Amino acid sequence: MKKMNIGVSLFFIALACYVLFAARSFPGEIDHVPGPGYFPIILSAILILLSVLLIASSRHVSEASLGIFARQNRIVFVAGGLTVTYLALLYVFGFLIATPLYLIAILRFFSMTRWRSLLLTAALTTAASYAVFTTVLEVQLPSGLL
Amino acid sequence: MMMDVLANVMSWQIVLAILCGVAAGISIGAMPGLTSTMGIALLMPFTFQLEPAVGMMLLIGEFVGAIYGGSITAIMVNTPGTPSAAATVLDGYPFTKRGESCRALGISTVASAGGGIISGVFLILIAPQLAEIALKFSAPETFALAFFGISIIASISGKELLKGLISGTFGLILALVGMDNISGLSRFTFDTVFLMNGLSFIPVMVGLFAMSQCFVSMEELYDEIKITAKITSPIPTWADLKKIFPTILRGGVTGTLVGIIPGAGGDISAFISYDMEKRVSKHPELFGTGIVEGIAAPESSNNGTTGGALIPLLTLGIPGDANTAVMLGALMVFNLTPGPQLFVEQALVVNTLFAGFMIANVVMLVMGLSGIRIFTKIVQIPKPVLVPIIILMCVIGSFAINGNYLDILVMFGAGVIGYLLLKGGFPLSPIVLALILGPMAEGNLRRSLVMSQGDYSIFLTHPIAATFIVIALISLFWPIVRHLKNHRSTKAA
Repeated sequence: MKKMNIGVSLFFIALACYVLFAARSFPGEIDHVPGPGYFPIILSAILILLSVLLIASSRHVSEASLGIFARQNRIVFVAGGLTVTYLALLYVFGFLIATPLYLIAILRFFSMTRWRSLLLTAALTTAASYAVFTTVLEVQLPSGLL
Repeated sequence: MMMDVLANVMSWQIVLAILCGVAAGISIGAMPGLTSTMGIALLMPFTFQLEPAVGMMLLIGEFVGAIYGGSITAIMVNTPGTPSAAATVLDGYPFTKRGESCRALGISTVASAGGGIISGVFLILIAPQLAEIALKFSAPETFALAFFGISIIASISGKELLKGLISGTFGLILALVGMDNISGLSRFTFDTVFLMNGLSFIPVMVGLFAMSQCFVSMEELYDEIKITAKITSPIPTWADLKKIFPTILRGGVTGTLVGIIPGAGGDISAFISYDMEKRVSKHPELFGTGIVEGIAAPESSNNGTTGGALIPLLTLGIPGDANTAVMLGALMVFNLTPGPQLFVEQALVVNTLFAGFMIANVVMLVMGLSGIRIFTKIVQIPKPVLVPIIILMCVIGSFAINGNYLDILVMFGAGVIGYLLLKGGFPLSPIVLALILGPMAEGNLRRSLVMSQGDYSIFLTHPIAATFIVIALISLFWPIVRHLKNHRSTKAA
């Protein structure tokens, strides 16, 4: 947890520094009234202060397993990677092609070994969601570039 | 008006929305790892094609059902489906060990519905009065109110106070993105049209509460829920009903009052009521061994918070917890700006929501007593199948709002950030609270100062604003003082 606290604090400090840097071009005051630059400066200063406090208080925190990079979390990273690939495919090929491919890949990765049930689940889920969302709820689905 | 409300609430669309919402809520609430907030965030994007009252009833039905649904696994497998059902485990699971799980489920269903209906009565009685007072609010009062709402971050952060404050400040910074309403200047938009109106908060909420939860669920993908108990009729006996009636009354009232206080939710109220019931009982030693009052007290109380939490949301636009924060987002998308004006301009919709809330509790009672067999089957859907379906809903939901692919990327990004923050012990509710209330606070602070030509004493000369600011400061700094005190006493020990 110690490393995690420090890592997240550093991320927030970097974000706050960026906000401070970008806010320098916004007027801080217009006619004695706070302008668009007032809140970004105050908030980034508070974020830096709180993050520094978290780093300081983390000195006494025991260094348990980091959790995120633990071996058993490999599944999250691989599934996350598959989802990123799905989002890219969705952009190019649209919902009807990308979704069954994604479902086959992720269900297979999640140990669904029987191909028949795997293909059936992927096809039925895609067809059912397409039918429900486009016809019943009249929701638009990604159609892709092609 | 009365006839219009009745006609509205009895329309097939609203009845169907309540049925679907409650059924989805019970199913989601019963599954450990899936939260009521996640359910609301997931359903929300699909409600925007519907009439505002219909869409909101779907979400309110989900809210009511999910808080009750958590008791099913609390009783049957010793694992609360939602944090609100944590106190129900204490007396609920001993029933299952004795082979009386259905009796316990019946008690929890009746108590939940009873608590919900009591809170509904309070909602109908208190909300319009509060809204009438709030009608007199101008920019200084609205700023003070928003500041009070943001100050709740300290109390909803629990033990992780510092991390909660960081999450809240992060949310306030995210709220800065977009065109400044007063000066018209673009802030942090990277010269893109997409960010001109600010970060679309629906994809952010879906990402933070649903996508991040999918990543968490993947870590325990193969943990199975096995329900082995035999399911019979859960309808309680007359003797049990007589025993739990006063408990439900006490629990319902306590839950409503706790629900009204921003920052305190069903989990806190359930434990308060459980403890209170133990104190008034003639046999406090029997609590924890499986007695009906031990289930009725927390269950009536946690469902009592549902109506209570809707009071500050609808009258003042202040969400008390993550569930109502997400609902606030939905109200805004429906152009139903919560606050006193809502009661004047959209009186029919508000009264329909009140009536629908009561009906949702009755539907929950009927569904809980008749459909328990179905819900126990749904709970056992394997996670390897469930998780990809939820991811699919996150993707479709975030795209559906504007038909913009970038919203999917925002959702996924928010999901990854949410997952990392959850792993680091950072609460997520403060981000949403700040994201929604931030623009309201900033805009009204600056408008107030334009009114007073830069004189900050305007907040002291408006008594309501001054009162809210004092309460907000107490609400913000009291948890910090308490935290420091506890820290010192632990160190001394």
